[in-house]
Amino acid sequence: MKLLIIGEDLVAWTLGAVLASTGCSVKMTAGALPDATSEEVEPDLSRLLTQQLESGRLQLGFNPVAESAVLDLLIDARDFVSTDSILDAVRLADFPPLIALVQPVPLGTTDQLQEALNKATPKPQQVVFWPNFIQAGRALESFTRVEQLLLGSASAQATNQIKRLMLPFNRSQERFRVMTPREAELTKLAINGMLATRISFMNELAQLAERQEIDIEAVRQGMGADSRIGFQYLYPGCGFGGEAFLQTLDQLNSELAASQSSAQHLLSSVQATNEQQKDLLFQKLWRFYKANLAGKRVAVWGCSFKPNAASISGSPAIHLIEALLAHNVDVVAYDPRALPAVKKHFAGRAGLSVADSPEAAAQGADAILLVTEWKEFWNLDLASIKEQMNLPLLLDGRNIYDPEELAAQGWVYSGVGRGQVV
Amino acid sequence: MSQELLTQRSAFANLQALANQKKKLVDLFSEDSRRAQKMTVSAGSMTLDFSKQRVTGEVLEALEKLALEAKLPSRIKALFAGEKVNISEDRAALHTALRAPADKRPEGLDAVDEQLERMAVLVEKVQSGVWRGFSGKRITDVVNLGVGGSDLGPLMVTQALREFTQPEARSLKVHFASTIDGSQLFDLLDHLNPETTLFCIASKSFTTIDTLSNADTVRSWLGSYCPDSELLHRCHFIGMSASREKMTAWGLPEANQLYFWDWVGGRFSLWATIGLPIALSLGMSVFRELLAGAHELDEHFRSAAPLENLPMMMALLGVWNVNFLDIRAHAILPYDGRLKYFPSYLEQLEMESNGKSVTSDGQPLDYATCPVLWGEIGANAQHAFYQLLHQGTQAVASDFIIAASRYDNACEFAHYEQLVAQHELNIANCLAQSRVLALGNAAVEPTDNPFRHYPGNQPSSTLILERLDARSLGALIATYEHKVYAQACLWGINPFDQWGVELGKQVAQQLQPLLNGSSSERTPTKPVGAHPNPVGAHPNPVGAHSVSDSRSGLRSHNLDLDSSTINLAQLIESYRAGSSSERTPTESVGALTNPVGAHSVSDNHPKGGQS
Repeated sequence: MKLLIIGEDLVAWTLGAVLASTGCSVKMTAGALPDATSEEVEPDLSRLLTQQLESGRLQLGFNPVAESAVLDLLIDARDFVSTDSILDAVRLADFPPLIALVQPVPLGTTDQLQEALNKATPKPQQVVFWPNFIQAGRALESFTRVEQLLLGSASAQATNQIKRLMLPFNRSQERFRVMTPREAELTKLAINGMLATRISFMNELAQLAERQEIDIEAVRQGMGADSRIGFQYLYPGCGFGGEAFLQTLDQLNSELAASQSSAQHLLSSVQATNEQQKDLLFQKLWRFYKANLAGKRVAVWGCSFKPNAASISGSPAIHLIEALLAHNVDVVAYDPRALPAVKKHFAGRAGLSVADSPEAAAQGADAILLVTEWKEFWNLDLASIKEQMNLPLLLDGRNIYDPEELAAQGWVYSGVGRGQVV
Repeated sequence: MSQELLTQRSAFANLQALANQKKKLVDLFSEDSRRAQKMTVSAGSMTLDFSKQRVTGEVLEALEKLALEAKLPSRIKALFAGEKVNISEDRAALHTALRAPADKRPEGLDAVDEQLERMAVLVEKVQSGVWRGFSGKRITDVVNLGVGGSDLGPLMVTQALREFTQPEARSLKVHFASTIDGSQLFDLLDHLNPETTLFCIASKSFTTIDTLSNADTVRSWLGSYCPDSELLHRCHFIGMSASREKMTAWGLPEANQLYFWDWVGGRFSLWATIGLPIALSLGMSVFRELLAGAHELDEHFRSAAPLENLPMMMALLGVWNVNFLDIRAHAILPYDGRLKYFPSYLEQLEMESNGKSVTSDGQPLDYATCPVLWGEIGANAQHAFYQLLHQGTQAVASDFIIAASRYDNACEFAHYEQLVAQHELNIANCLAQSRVLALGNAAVEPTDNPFRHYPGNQPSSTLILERLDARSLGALIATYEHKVYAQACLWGINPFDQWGVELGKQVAQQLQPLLNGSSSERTPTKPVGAHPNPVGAHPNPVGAHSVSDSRSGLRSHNLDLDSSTINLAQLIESYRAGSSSERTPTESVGALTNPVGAHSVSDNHPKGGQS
């Protein structure tokens, strides 16, 4: 199958690499492979892209104006582009017979595009909404071993083509769920809305637990064991981020706001709770030091919005660093992958420096804020790190340490909802 | 040279003779078909139509002479130059310097910029969420604690310009609490979150008992959530005052103090750091626009000739109405819901400034000064007191105020056309009312029904703004400030002092222990702010002899109060004692009978009132 993929983020690169690896001829508008350290790729993805490029099945820098190509499928993987902009791309590619939108779109976009194309050309054309569930940190795996393949399609022929494309990853059982494009558009938004709601609800419970000196960890285990609830997305913490995730929530939020007369709906509280959680570690630090933060030195462990990712988009770390710098705190950030993004974001702001290890970041610090639960933080030699600190305060935003163990070591430790009030 | 009286001026007799002609508005309009076109004066985008005042060309000429005889141009110069125009308190009144760009300000006032800059930094901190409450949360609500000039101006402006709120200010809610009885606070504290509420204590002297007792109540409320007093002061209070010492003594750290100067009168202080709630509520840029608009009007006032000078024209017309036509009431009628608090703001500005009966050097006057001034949103007042204006027995002069354009930033709304239609209806009402007030029966079909008789001849001016925004509101406020100053010059009085309000405060301070003491469960305490030298009481103010005499009388015969006051106090105490005995002990502890603020707050807070 001959494909053109428009876009240059993690989703576009993942689709390009994986589909080329199944034998498709894939053209991408993106000009060059992203730097291996950038947030658009991950190590295994980067390797796969290089292989596919070498095999010749993947072609970069495709320019539909200069070159012509007969295409079977156009995949638009750009974020939040207007219908007009998609239409332009389709026109430039000389109206390929099948167009797939893979990023979240405002409700009704697929149908609108179909109508516009019906008017624009006599050629038979189909638009489908094929939302991706690619997760940063495990992009390849999340695309090739997905639980369900959601497809919004109004045409049996189009449905068959997409099914055929994904057949290599859909052999053991049928995982495609086909519905109308509008149903699929809302389903994609609703899944993210539900996940966010679970997390914010846990965070609200964690606040209660903390005040009541109850360990939320025990509560979480008990809740998760109930099969009606399950364990996924039940971790309280210092807030969720991620560009795609936050964007879909914003979009769902505005769809809800537009359709309801009252401004207050559940999802707006979910988002407000998340904003409060992003601020949580700062508030604890503020209370611990009784608002005397100027001149303190604080280590931030983990800056990406989730482990194994290089992106800091919507990450609580960014919010926290801003708040700390605004109060003249010296911040030393450490992250295995996200430091380039951090440096770029803060562009030489005074008061912020980066360290090349968690230990170095903690040197002489008045507090450690653990923001992202990278695996390398779990089993550090905390006893010796403590010796290097000015004051052994550890504010754990992801509950990765054992409160009793840390207390025994002499740390002032506070997790999220684990009963220790700071 | 002693202050010349209005009645001694040579223009006075001439004006009296003209007034005796008793010209009626209906005749004035029929004599001159172009009257309405001729009788306007403009400043910037604001125009005053005074064709419905009972003046003729001759009257205006005589009023101009009066203005020149009273040396208004040089008096204006003195005001702007920072001369000590506030004679009884021996200081300048330099509110105009607060809104002037640095290069146009009298020398030595760099501190104005410094405080404005400190205010901007503080506003940015609060709005951006950098400022935190004691528990580390960002501020969601601000309560301004102030009374009089520290309340009315900011309240009026924030209400008027709400639609211009800048994005950075939208998430902050600003509230006002002024009353000494604590009722507004009682309502606010019921729903505010102590962790996220910031209080601005606005008091020029920082001894105003109304404000300080509210502040002490708030401190006690916060103290029940945050036992760390230092943290509480640092995170939840900002002071705006001319007394650094008293702010410090109250417990405010230096960084939380915004300063202004004794040469800024309380009722002229919204241009200084007292404007903080305006900037917090609407955005610093809106506050700067307000200053710029006022400055433009200042330039007009200091440069325009008397009869082309809008504030001066308003002043002259006011004197004509009061002193020659014997009209002792003045209604302020904005036909604009946004100007809801403008009448109460002007009540203070005009009546506290010019409600005087001695000249600036202390001689008694033999003529009237400031009329009784009150008002309401015009269209609402039509359903309240307009009956009296149309058919009552009082002569009343009126100011109609209206914005020509409205809702031009609401055109995307589905109900835009309805809104514009409402605005047109509003304009029609405004114009109809001034017409009927002026012309009476002549404006309608004649009838011999006595109940439908409209005498008319009630004078009014109509002040038209192109639109109401920060700039035009700044200019509007400055217009009335300058009108007040020009009138004070014509009457020969000092508009910048307010000795009349001091005596009542002092008697109240002497009475409070009496109420406290007669209640057995209360410990008699010295009230907060009780001070040997209370608010603004200068040892020997020029021209305030009678006031200081009675004050010293009170001081020497402590609690020498007449029996009627004692009787009233005892009666009230007996009601209080009766009502508390009917309640169970737990109830009487509750806040219901003892609203926030009724406690002798200095008990809980050793710092309170120790300034």
